[in-house]
Amino acid sequence: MKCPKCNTDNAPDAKFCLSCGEPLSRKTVVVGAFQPQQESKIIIGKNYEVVAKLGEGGMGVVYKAVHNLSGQEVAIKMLPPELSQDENIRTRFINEARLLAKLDHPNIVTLYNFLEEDMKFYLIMQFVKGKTLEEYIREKGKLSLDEAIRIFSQVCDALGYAHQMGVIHRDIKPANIMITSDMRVKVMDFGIAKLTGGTKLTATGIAVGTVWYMSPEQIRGAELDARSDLYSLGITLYEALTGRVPFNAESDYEVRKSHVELPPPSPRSIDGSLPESVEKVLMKVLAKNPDERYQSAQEFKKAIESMGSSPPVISPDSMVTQPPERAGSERGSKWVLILIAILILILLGGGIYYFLFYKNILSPSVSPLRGEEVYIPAGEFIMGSDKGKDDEKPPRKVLLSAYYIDRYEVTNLQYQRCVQAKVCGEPQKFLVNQSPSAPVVGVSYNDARTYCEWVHKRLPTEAEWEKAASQKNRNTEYPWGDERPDCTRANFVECDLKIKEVGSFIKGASGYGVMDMAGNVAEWVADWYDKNAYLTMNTTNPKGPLTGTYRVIRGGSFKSTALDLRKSNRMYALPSERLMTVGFRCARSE
Amino acid sequence: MGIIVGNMSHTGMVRAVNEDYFGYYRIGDIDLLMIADGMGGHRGGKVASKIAVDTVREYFEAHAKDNMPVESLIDESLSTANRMIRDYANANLELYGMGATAILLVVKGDTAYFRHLGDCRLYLIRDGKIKRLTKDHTLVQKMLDDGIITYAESLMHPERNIVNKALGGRFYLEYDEPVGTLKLINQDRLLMCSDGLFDSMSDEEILEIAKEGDVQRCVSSLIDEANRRGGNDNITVQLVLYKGE
Repeated sequence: MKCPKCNTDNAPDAKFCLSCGEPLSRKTVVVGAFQPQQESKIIIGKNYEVVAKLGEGGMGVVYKAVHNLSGQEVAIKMLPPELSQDENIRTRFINEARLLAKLDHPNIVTLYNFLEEDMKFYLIMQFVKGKTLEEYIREKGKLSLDEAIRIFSQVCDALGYAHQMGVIHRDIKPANIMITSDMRVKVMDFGIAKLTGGTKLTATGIAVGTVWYMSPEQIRGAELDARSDLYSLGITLYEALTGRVPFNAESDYEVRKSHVELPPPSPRSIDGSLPESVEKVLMKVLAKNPDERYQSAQEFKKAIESMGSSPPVISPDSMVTQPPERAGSERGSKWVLILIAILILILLGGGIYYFLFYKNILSPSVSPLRGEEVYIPAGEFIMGSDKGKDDEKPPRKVLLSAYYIDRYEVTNLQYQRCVQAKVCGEPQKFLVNQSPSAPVVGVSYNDARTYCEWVHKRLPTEAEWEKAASQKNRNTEYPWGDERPDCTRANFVECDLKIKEVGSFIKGASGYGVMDMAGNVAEWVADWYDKNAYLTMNTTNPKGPLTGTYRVIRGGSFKSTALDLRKSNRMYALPSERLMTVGFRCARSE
Repeated sequence: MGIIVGNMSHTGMVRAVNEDYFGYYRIGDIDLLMIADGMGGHRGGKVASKIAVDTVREYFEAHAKDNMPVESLIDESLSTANRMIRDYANANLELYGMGATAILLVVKGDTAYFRHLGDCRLYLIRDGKIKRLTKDHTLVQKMLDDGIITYAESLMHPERNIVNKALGGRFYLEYDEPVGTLKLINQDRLLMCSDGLFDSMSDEEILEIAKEGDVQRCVSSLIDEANRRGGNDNITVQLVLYKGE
């Protein structure tokens, strides 16, 4: 049956969509005197009726379900289906799950049962209302010392108990720590990491952030004991108190390397108001050698509780109290620190990404990387719209000569070539996708123009851009047609707020096959901005006003709303501005 | 002058499907051999490895006579396969994320050309010794190179499954090293395989079985031995014997 959400074809008896995990309901028609309303129930393990999807991650999809006799609410985790094809993994799953089902502690999410049905594994767990520590930290920026002590001592209780039962968590991180409204802690997903390992993955297929909390011995692939969990909890505590993880870099590999080789930056260098006791506890639990850490969760708990008892050392910085309104400036200093850390990592060298660049620096001349182009034949199209904002009016027929436009936005990799050739300036760094195949952002109009000239091209005019974003011989709202945007067609504010690699949205292509014209990152075009430009515009090869203050930006970004993805939507900024949401592509005349 | 090839692929004793795919083709004056090891859940892995081998063969059939250097044929055919897999996965959501590691070997005259992506390997057996001609593109290999882990740790590392390079994964297929080349001498043996073989056998153990005798029989013995040791993964082997002047 077809998935209502993503249209994937699934087997007729499938309970969940193979692709997006959406529950697939089937209508049960009961013949009899009392024919009920159309029923649509998904039942797992005979008795659990699925009522909602709670979330999904690398370890599978989680549903909320209700037991149809007792009414008990549960969370059901469905492990990735490909695992069940592997006999080794099945055996390991059953053995581990038996062990996990023995854990019974007020600070641990209880595993009630586990079952295998239709070649899929399900874990039936306690349903906990609350939010994860990850969400909690994101909302608050960072935690107060008192709050942290209250939360982390409970996590230590959970870990101490599990360790005594012979269970290592292996994946302690803020996303696995639930906090209820009355500040009770419930640790979840004990041992799940061990259940699901083993299938071949590309390094890029691993969720970002899973390496932030890994212990050095875990990275080296050694046997793990309780002290590995304590290290991961130490990283979590570090993040809770300072608002950032100690080791961050642009590649997972660099983060791994730092865990093994670098000392964590002093927490007090990030936040001078933290007492010295905090620094001592964190540095000890984050020791590379497990023998130098706290040796048990109980010992770590005592240390955490003692952090609050010593009076904070008053340093000049901490005299200034910072109200939450000033989070912006605080974030600024965080940025500087992150940038310094990144720079250090670059200097240390290592990642393939930087190694590639490094090699290029050594080569005597750096040539541009050719990108794919699309040929747009000469002809008329409708520019502007009377449905949008005033500056898009009036729509009119515009005639353009033939031209070529890049199929994708200029990528980080392509742009870096230009930087190495000492032609382009470094883009402004934002904490966004720095993958070589992601579109470059943080470049000004002037940067964009310089790049296009370097590759013997130019920026497209506003008219050229809009035509390339259209359907052939058909006037539509969006590049793909008139359907409202969704996350399979474009990356915009309703998706996950991360920049994607170029060409990730085949379904969002324009009629000419030009990609990423709506969402992901917006794009500089050649024209000056004037809200009345269309009233006086030339209708043959228009090049926009002769002068102005702002340059036009088109296409919407990962932060745009659905309406702003319309192909006729116009935005603008100063030509010198370097924005997190704006990149560009080039064009050339035939 | 020429080559004799033995080859075989086996699902192994544990996996339900064989996601490996291989081919040996004679195109003009070129011998083209390839193994692809598919990955990515559901049916994806099987689809990806087949697209990889088929696309490379088609590319060679179309362009081998164009006087392109063999190195360019190899790089362009693999880039094409990369795009084909990626686009196919994008158009079929249930295949999202599929990919394949691969080893491609071309023999033309007395020269062998090869390129690998991920953890498929090529070995040379000459004068009773075995030598690895490819270095795995894996997280574990990189950590070993950087001194983060020891050789012993690398053999049993639980993240041996993570590869840094594969067909279908990234937008650009980036190569860190040039196409490998080797002048062949009479009686050289080239052994290409998926990780199902070497994950359970050391290089010396592989040498013992593959160094002499009928190549097809050697391949069968290698696969039998890997299965006898558990057969935890799909196993594919192609063994080439070069007959020089």
